[in-house]
Amino acid sequence: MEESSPVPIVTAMLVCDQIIAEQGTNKKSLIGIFEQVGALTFPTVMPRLSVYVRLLDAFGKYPFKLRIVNLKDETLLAEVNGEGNVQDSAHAAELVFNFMGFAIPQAGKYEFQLYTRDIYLHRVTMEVLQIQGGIPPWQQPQRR
Amino acid sequence: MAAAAAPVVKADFSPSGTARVELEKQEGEILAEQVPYAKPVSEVPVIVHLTSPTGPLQTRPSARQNKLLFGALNDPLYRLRRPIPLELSVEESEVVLTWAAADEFGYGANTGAALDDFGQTLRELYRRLHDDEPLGSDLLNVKRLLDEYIEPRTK
Repeated sequence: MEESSPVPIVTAMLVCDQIIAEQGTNKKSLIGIFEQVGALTFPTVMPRLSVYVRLLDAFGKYPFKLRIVNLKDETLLAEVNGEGNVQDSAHAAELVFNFMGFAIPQAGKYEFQLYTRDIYLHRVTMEVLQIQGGIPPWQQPQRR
Repeated sequence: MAAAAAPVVKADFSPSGTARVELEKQEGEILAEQVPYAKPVSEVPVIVHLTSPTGPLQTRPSARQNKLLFGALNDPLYRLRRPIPLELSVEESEVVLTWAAADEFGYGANTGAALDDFGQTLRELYRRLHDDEPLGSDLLNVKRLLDEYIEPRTK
């Protein structure tokens, strides 16, 4: 991103199981959008995890950085760097991050933070829950 | 036992869209096997295989930065001409973001929450200062400063 490049804004940022891009149209299908995930034991590994980002006002080359942060103590879990080239500022640009074998050390809240050239753009949070007795909290019967 | 420093996993993706970081051993233990390596999908710009080190004995670097640039105005009517420089401090376990030039702040339990709060403060301040109400000299200076960073969206 050059100094004169506009600061893009993020109009959507979602975490899901998988993102499929259709050949030909390049339309994206987001499969299994979620904000909570359960695990029996920790550390655990998520076989697939994707982050979808939709940007406006972007034009030109941008270095993007996705930081994964443990919100319990704001420690850095991982950092992914890449570059995007937006050639048409009249339309939204899309970014897709696909992770495979993503390790989660403990239950808690985690945040995906998007930066370009060290400029904070947006964040999305994912909560990792400890499943008791094999039943995720959102499927356990409610007590009256 | 002293805590072992755990390197943060860094994965740069290549133009072909793939990168891979091997599983790391944790005190002789290997994390659960991943799914088989999938053929890269060329339409999707980024495929990252990564496994971050885990375990209570490991320490990780803090994600907090002393200085950062704010680019998340998130307003349908206004946009940033350029990012706003902020300084981060922690007061009584609360994250405080300071825009010293305008004497504006954002507070939150973590950096993300403080950034949200700062963005909200900024949007409200910009609207209030452009309300056609008469302003004192201090507020006029803040308005001029805001106009250097924020402009109305034209499309």
